[in-house]
Amino acid sequence: MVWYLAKLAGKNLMRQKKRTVITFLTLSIGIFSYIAVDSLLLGMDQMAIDNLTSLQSGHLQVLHPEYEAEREDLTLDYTFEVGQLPQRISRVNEVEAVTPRITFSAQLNNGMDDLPVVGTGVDPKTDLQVFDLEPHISGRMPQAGAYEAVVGKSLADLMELGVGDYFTLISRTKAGAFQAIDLEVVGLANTPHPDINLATVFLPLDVAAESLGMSGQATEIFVRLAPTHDLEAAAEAVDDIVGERDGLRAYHWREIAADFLAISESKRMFNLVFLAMIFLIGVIGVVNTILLSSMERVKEIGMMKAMGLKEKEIILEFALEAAGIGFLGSLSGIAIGAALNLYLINVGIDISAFFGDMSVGYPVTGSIYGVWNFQTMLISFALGLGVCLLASYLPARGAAAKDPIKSLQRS
Amino acid sequence: MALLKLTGVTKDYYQGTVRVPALRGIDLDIKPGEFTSIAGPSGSGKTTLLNLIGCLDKPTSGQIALEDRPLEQLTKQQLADVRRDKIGFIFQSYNLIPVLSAYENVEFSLALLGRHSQAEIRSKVISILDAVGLQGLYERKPRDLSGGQQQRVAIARALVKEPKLILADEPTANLDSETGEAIVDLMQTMNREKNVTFVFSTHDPMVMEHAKRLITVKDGHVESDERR
Repeated sequence: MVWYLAKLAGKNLMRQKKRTVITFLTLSIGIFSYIAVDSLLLGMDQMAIDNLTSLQSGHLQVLHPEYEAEREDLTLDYTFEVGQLPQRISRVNEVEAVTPRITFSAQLNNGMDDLPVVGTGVDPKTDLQVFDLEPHISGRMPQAGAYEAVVGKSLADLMELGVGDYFTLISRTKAGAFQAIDLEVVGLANTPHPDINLATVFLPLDVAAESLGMSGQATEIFVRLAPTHDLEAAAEAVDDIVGERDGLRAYHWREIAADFLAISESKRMFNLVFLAMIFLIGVIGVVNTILLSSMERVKEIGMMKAMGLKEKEIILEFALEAAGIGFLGSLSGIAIGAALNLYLINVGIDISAFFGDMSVGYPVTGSIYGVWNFQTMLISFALGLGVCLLASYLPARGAAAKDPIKSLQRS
Repeated sequence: MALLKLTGVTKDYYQGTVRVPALRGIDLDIKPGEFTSIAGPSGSGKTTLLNLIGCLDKPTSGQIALEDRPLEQLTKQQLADVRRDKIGFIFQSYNLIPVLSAYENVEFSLALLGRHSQAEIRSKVISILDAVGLQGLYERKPRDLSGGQQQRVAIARALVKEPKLILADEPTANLDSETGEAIVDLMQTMNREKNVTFVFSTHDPMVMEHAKRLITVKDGHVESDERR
């Protein structure tokens, strides 16, 4: 019997082709838009995490807890002796590379204008083992002991600096005295991280330390972990090494990147709202279709009841029609979504036209790419189908409950 | 034994709070194999009577028994089972399912019973379509059939499940006289050959002439009951 009802439902769907097509296309558009948006947001998340860990925060950071609290001020009040710390941290399981840095606030002066920047003293030997900066540098990294610098590309453009130009970095030493450091631009950093491009100057660690009156010291030590790692366990292990003896603490990147994680969390909410909108589209479309369909077929439903069809069988027939719409809508939505996703994964979307290197708390710039998320596709399909079935129930029940005599009397 | 027995059947409708009696105490026996016409003017209660016999409605009072089984106590589901298994309907405006072909309309009625294999269904459907003169028109949709052909499909749809009783509400009202006579001839043939009981309401004197029993209803009463 179900087979015959399914056959009838299929033929009924073809009765009002335009209406059926519009209903399932509406659902389809909702689903493929959701798949595409989810893919991009997930892709942005992955890119942001990659950028954070490979260009800004590493997997772990060792620093003074007070420094973490006042980090935005880039204070030099909580520096520490580097000594043998990198070697000791390197012994921890899963640690691949360790490098110290000095991060300080400064003004970049090109002889005409000033701009506030983040000065970053890096150890040319070990920094590239922790961070993937080198592929994004046109020119070269500064050498130890040399008064050289790599400048963020957008910052350099703004200050009209190029490789071979000189500029002055004006800062305060650890003791609070003004200090000017003359540096030659040896490279420009054009990374996928907007903060680096827009406001960072890299100079050799020893030059920074000497200029700032903090030789042998650093503000942070950055740690890169093996590709497969237990982030929290590794942070605890490093913490055990640095905590008691040096009064330092190891933070993993998730603790540091609170802004990014807050945005990522709000993105999840956005996704849920998007999903709810798809539900709504599906519900409205299917309720409308089933309602119109049942109103047009009142006499036919009366005749079917006269033939002995039970109310539950009539509800089932309408549910099968709704399931047909849900199936076609979900399937076409997933097919178009997959095709769109393929484009987003391979070609991506260049957001620099909209945002340039503007930092919006999300460490991503340039092109963003999608990722495959088969779970989203499966969920979309199941929800598309489920919502259509649920949405059809009330109008179908209304149609099935009609008095057959009154239905048959309809002209 | 009566196939159908009505005892003191009344049916009231309400227009707002005003009671409108449609049937005022009908007593009737229909025996298996009868070819009965219920005649009467508009508003006399013919269709109400047919609806009660067809288990589409319940009487206000009185008893209706089909094969000695009282119907008035049955639930909606049980009444649907009775309609499915024992009663076939033929309507004035055919009421075929427009998206199904002639074959599929008849097939659907038989498939509802859930008792037959695909092969049995096919054989029975083709046999009945041929019997009502629709050879070669199996795949036609209702819109591609004439009124007479559509009514033949409706008759085949009612007959294919071999019901005890076929109820026809003004089966010739939408047909020209020649086609109407052919349809009545067909119903008579099926009544004779398959021994199916036919009860139909009509205004049409030609149809009344063919009936073996003519029941005339007026103002909710049986005015006359004539066997021929």
